[in-house]
Amino acid sequence: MKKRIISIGLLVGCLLLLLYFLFNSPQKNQEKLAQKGKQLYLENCSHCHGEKGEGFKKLYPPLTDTTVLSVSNIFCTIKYGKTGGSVIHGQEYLQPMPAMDFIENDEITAIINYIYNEINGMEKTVKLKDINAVMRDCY
Amino acid sequence: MQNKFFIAGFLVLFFCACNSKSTEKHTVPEANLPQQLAYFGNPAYAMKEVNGAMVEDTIYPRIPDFKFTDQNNQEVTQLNFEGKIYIADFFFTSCPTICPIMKKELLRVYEKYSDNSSVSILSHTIDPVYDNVQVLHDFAERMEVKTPSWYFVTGNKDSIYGMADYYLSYAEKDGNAPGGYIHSGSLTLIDSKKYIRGVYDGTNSDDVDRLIKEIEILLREEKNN
Repeated sequence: MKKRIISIGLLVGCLLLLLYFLFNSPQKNQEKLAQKGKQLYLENCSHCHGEKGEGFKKLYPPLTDTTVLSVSNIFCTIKYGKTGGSVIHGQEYLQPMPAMDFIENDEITAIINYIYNEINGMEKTVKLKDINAVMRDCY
Repeated sequence: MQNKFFIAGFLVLFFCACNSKSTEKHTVPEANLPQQLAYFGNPAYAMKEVNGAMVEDTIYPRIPDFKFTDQNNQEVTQLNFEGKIYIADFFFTSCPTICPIMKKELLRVYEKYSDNSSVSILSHTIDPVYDNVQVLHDFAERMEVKTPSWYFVTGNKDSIYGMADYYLSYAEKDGNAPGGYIHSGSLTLIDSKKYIRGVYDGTNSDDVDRLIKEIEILLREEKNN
C-alpha cells in the first residue's frame, strides 16, 4: 500500500514537472512577453497611434518610420513625453506626446518589442538591460 | 427545496449571461430602431388645459443659450445651430486617453454629413487655457476638418463646465488623471428646438453607428414637423 502511494506521488510529481516545462518553455515565455507587449500597446498607445501603428491624420504620427525608432528615442518619448514636434516620413507632427511615466521600464521594453516585431516586422529584440543603458540619453 | 434553489440559481446565471452579452455589443437591429427618438434629461411637470380638461404636461430640459469662440476666432452661440440638429462633446487637445478615440469616431459622423448643412458638431475644450483659438485651429486643420459645420470652441472655463451638465456630460479637473482632466466620452444629440434626443458612448464604435442611424431618424422627424 505504501509503495503504491509513493509511486502515485512520483507519477503526479513527474506530470506536474512536465506541465511546468510545457507552459514555461522559452518559447512560451517569448509568446507571453509578446502578448504583454500587445496588451500594453493597445491600452496605452493605440488610442492615438492606431492599432497597427498607422497614426491618425496629421495629428498623431505613425510608428513606422524606422529612421526614428532607436531604443533611446522610443523609450525617452514614452517615459518623458515629447514637445516641440517631430518629422515622421517627411511630415511634421506638432501634437505634444504626454509623458507615460506610470508605465514601468520592463513594460516599456515589451511595448518597444511590439513596435519592432509586430508593427514593423523587425527581428530586433530589446531587453531591460538595454533600456537601463539608454536611460541617461533622455536628458 | 434543493431543486428550487438549483432552478433559481440557473435562472440567475442565465440572465447574467444574457445581460453581459447585451452590454458587450451595442448593435441595434434595423427593425428595433425607434420611429421617433425619446427625450432625455430630468423633466419638470406642469398642468395644462387641453380641450377644457386639465392634464399633466411633461417638460423636458432644453439647452440654454451660450457664447464661445471657435477655431476661426468667430463667436459661436445657439444662433449658429438655428434650424439644425447637432452633436455636442467635451474633450481637450492634449488628452492621451479617450479623446483620440472620440475624435476618430466623430470624424466618421463629420465625413458622413459634411455636405449636409442641417447637421453640425460642437466640440468644447475643457482645457481652455492651453486650447486657445490657435491650438484649436491647428487641431482642426490637422484632422482635415475643412467645412464650418464642426466647431471646436474655447471660452470661459466655468461656462464650458456648466454646459457639460446641460448636455448630460461630465468634466472635471483632476491632477491624478492622465492629461490632468477626467471627463465623460459621451456624444449628445440635440434637435433644432434644443432638446436632448440621444446620448452615446463616443468611444464605442457600435454606439456611434447607432448615433448615425438615430441622426437619420431625427432628420426625418425634423423634416415632417
